[in-house]
Amino acid sequence: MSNNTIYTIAAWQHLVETAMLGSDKMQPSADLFTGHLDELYRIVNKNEATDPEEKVLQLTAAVANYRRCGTKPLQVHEISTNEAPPEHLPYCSQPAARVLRHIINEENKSLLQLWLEQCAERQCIVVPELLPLLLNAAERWKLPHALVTAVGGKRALWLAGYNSRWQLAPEATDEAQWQEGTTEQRAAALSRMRMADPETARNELVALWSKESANVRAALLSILEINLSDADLPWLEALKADKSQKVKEVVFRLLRRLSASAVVQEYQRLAPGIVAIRKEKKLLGLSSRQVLSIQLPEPHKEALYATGISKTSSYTGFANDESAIYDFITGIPPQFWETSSGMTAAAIIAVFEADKNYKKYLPAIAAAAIAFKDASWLTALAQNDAAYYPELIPHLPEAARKAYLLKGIESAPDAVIEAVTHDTEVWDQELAAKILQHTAAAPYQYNPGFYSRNIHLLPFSVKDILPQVGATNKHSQYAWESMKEHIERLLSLKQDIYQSFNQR
Amino acid sequence: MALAPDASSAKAGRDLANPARWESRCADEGALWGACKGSGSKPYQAQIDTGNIAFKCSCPSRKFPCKHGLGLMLLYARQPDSFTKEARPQWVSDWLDKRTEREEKKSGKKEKPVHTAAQAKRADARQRGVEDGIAELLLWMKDIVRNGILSMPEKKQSFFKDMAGRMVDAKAPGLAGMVKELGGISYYKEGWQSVFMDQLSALYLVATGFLNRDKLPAALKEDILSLTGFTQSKEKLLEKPGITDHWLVLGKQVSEDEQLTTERYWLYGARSGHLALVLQFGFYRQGFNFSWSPGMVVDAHLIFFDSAAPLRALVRDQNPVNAHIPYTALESWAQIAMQETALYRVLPVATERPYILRQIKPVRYKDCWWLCDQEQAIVPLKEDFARLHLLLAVTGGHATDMAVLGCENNFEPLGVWASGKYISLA
Repeated sequence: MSNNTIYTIAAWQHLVETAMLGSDKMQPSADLFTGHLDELYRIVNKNEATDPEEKVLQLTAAVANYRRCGTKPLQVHEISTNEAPPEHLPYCSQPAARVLRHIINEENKSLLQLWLEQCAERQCIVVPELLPLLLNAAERWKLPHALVTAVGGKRALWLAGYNSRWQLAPEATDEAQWQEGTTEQRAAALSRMRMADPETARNELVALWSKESANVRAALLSILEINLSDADLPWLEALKADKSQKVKEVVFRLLRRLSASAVVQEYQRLAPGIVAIRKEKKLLGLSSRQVLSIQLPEPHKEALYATGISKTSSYTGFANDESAIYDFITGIPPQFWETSSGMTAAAIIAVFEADKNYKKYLPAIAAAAIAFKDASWLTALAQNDAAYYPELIPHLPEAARKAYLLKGIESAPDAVIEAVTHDTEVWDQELAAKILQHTAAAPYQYNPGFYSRNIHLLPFSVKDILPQVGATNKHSQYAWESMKEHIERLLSLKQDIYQSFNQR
Repeated sequence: MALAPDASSAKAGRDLANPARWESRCADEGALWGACKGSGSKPYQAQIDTGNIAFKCSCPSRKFPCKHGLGLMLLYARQPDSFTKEARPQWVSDWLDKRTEREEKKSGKKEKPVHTAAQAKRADARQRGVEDGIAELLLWMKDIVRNGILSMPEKKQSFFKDMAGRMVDAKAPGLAGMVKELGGISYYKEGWQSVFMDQLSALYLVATGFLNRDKLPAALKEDILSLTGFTQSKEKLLEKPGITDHWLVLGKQVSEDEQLTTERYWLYGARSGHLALVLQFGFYRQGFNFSWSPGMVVDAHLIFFDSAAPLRALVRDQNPVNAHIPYTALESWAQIAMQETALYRVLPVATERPYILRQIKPVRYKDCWWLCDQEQAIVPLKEDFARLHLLLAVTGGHATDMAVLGCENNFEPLGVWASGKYISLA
């Protein structure tokens, strides 16, 4: 810094201090106007007609100009720079970048995820100017970390280092999360371990079992439901003596799903006394029919309560005993009813359906079919035209599932729609058309947000049928027309995603 | 979408970029027009002058361009084939004819008989009125200096507003604006005292400069008159020669003060190397003649206002063009300091200006962000620069050619050249 610059800065600071106190209390001192400013001070002060305030203003204006003219950049000899590493993958095309900007501005998470998947699939990365937008969106919508990292390239990782809200550093391993994470992170890590290697996951839980609180034990034990098998049986049987009621509830819930467990064996022993299918003669013995008798004898009650079944009702419309019976039935492999009655699954279902008092137990049989993964019973229940069980949908084989969805969209549309929103594949065209028809009648329930969230599941082919879909009542006509435009726009954006990536 | 006045308009415009929303969509070589279904019984008639990018719509929106204009333009950009080619209807040709007429009037307005004596009398009266106002302003400033500026943070806004109002009454709106700026200083920030004295001294220079205007060089006198609030005659300006060039829009700033919207465009001329500032004013965001976005190249004829260091310009004839333009950049911050020094020598009340600098990179130094040139000279990045992460994203911390805006030691990047294109940081 030159002497002149030093003098100017000193004079400026002195003038600011003078102005702070006021010229009534302080006057600019000649001592601080040295070097090239000495003459300036003399010229201003020479004029005796000028009042002290104006002298301060004159000096300030002149020194400000000296200061501006003397401003120089700061010269540094060594400055550490942090440059982003070079990229090895190509950038996405400009059309794809335009679509990405559009989608982020639209705040559509579903399409954004689709765009990112397409980008990752084609092994290209986001152009740098869109990274802040993308990282903000990733933070706001909690987008899959691995996906954002894959399409953000090295620049995104580098950039995330300058904003603590953008967490792009590699995530801790499952092992580290299991050992050191929050209960939520540990549960997520254990779930992943359980899916990949059930035995190791169980052993990890066993190893830390005694160190956990009852609440945490109950929460983590529930995860064994994933890939539950007879290999878990010895440990679960041992846990029946756990001191915590919460833990015991989970233990029995799991044991009721293992056919080899003592609980399920005991249920099968008690079953004839609780649920009985017998032949009843009709028309003076000329014909007969199967009738159902369900009751909970007093001596059986304690045996059921000892297996974690609640004494009080857990279900609306069920009395205490009925609720216990319901839970009891969910713990019996459906195959048992065939063996004990000598009837087919379809016939047994028909007997339940025929009894207005007992058909309410069929959902318990459906729950048992799901728990014991009984494909023949799942199919039989799906073929029962008298009732619809949406909970079967994820467990049916693909062909049966499609038919069951189409059947359900008429009788239980809301449940079917809820189930298929969890799909990972694009909806079948026929199903999508039926969903459109149903939602057209309820555009306030299935509002634009519904289609924004699920646009990735809607096939392009619905674009052709959309104009023909109309609202069923005139009150929702305007809303549905506006919804159709929304759907068309979303489809068009979705199409833009594929087209922009295919243009490369 | 860069033309959208705000995010909600951009979103609404995108919603309308859907053929289903338009009852008709037409285009010819100079215009787009269409009828958009709205909530009223009649559709809104939207039209766009594609030659000089201007919008008009029959909707009641006060935003400009409105969502219908944006939607129509975006739809055309995406699906030009969905537009039919038809003869212009009356409402479109009327509007375009009026625009052409207005342009012609601007470029060659017929001379009206001038009553020189009356004009001189009015000008004299105004100047006397401004002088009277300045006398009061100087007293007000001296009171501040006498009593000390430490009490400024406690002053009510009326302290500044009243004096600004007095300057408006004195027909010195430029001085009124400078007084208002004193009231707008962030008094809670450290170092406000220096900022206040800086602005007070500029106000003093303009005010006393006006009183001594006849002793000033002609060009500087024009600057002082402009800063006081005297407008230069557009008619006279348009008679002067200008510069025809391909102008790169380096940046766009929009500010609003009550109903008045001001658009500031910072331009760089490819052939001339000139930098320019073009201002547009609108009430309720209406009444703008053109709409440019940063990074756009405009083939335009600019006429510069009289000034000791010409920067502000009027636009006569402009057409957006699709072109990449070459540019000449300064090599270092030291060169900018030299240019600034030369500028203050002729124009001591100069404000921020754009510069193009070669190979600048953002760096961290002493816990702050700086802009570093090739000679390891650094200048602090403007404290409230909102696009730091975008700057980092596009540069990756590497040196790039950069357009900056500022003065003295306070600069913000407007855009950078990366991968062969100009990327705006606005």
